[in-house]
Amino acid sequence: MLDGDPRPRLFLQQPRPAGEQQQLADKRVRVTGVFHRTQPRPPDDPPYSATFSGSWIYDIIVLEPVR
Amino acid sequence: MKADRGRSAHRAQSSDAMSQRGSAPGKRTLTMELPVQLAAGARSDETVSPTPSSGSGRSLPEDVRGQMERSFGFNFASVQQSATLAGPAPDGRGRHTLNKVLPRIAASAGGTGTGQTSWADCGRISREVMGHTRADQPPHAVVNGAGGNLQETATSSSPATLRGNVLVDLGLGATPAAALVTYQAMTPTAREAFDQQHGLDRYAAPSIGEAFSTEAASGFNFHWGGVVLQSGGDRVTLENFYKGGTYDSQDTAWYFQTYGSPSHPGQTWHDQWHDPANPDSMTMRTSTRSITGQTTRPVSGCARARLTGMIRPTTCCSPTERRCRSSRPITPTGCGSKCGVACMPGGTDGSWRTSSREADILGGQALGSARALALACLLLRCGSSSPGAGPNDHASESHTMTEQPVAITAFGQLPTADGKTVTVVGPIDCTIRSRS
Repeated sequence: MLDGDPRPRLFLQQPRPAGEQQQLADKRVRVTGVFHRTQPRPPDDPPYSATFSGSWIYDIIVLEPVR
Repeated sequence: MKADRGRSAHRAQSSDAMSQRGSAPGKRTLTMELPVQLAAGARSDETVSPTPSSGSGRSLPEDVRGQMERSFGFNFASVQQSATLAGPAPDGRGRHTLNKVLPRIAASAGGTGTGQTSWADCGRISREVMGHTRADQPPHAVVNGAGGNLQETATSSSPATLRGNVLVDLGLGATPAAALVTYQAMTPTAREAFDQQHGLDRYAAPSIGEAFSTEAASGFNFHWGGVVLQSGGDRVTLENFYKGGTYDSQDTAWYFQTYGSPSHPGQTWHDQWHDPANPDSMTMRTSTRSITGQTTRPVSGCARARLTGMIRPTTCCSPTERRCRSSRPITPTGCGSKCGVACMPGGTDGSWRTSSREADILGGQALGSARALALACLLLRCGSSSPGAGPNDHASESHTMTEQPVAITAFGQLPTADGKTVTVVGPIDCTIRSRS
């Protein structure tokens, strides 16, 4: 459960390749990457810039279906 | 997602109007179908050349266009289209004609009409509504103070900082963290009463040219919405939302949204945007302009308001400057010519203004909903004085100062620029007196 949401919510680094999205759509996956409690901001953005709420995984190394 | 929420809510609130026009609401339709009420006497068939970057269509009649452009410092304007909708006003005030309009956003990097781009960051686009084009000026939070008078916090572009400022200024604690703990410890009933008293959460009510700001919004770290239209307790915002780009990103996904008054459960901005899972979530009224006031009778003498403390210094400017023009004549009595006729003197209409930003909009119906409020120390300048050195330049003036009592509707006790204290007793007709 993340950020008190009634449903777990986790965002992945964007964008993902179109082919990968087609291959993995609606499937259970295993993700390896760096977990961020909040969305990292672009380095030049001011601290008062908007972000999505929820946690994020950036720098995804592996995103694969679970057999 | 935010866009879906906004659009679906807008669809629900606009469904009647939409159905009468037979147009199917869609992504861009929501923008295209925004109605603006023509001012009384305005001719809907007026032929005016299109304004630059406005897309097709005609300019709004001068009284409506001028009002809106003054309101937003020419950052945002609407161009009337040919489509209209006529019918009885819901409040029973007769039959009105609504015109479809297209927006024109000064900060747009490209495109026309609904294809214009604008800032994706919700705060940045709201600050376009509140301030000057591309200035990205941080706003105050505005709350009802303990005496019922409006009160401004220090400025910030961070809603979390503004929230802390609000709660500290309202006396809930010495630090933002402590004040937030106190606020959260209130019972629901007590918190509701506190919110209502101070204009927070469901009771936040920004005027046109101001903005809603919610810290800890649903789906985002916060959300902003600049108010561009108001009718009774309903407010229409111009919004956009972050989509993963940078602070400088622009896109065409901006939209208008209508929010209702606290008497309509579920319709307020706070109802729509606060994060119910986050007890820190709070909605505020924000503004980059200073609070306006209204004297109860014409100010005697050539007066300029110098505002101190939490309110920004007054900006005076010459009558030849565009922004100083008023729909009403400003006719200072007494020593007018000696002081120079700045934009600040109390006029025959008893009005005064606190900044050039206010001067832009005062006199227009856009501020008709803004209550006469506030403020501050009036430093009356009269008598043996030379004209001011120039517009917007207090520092170089060399007046012989004479302070006078003046009747004004205002509140509080504030220091003057020269270290004295002016006591303002309100909220009813009262007298300001300098204390030596």
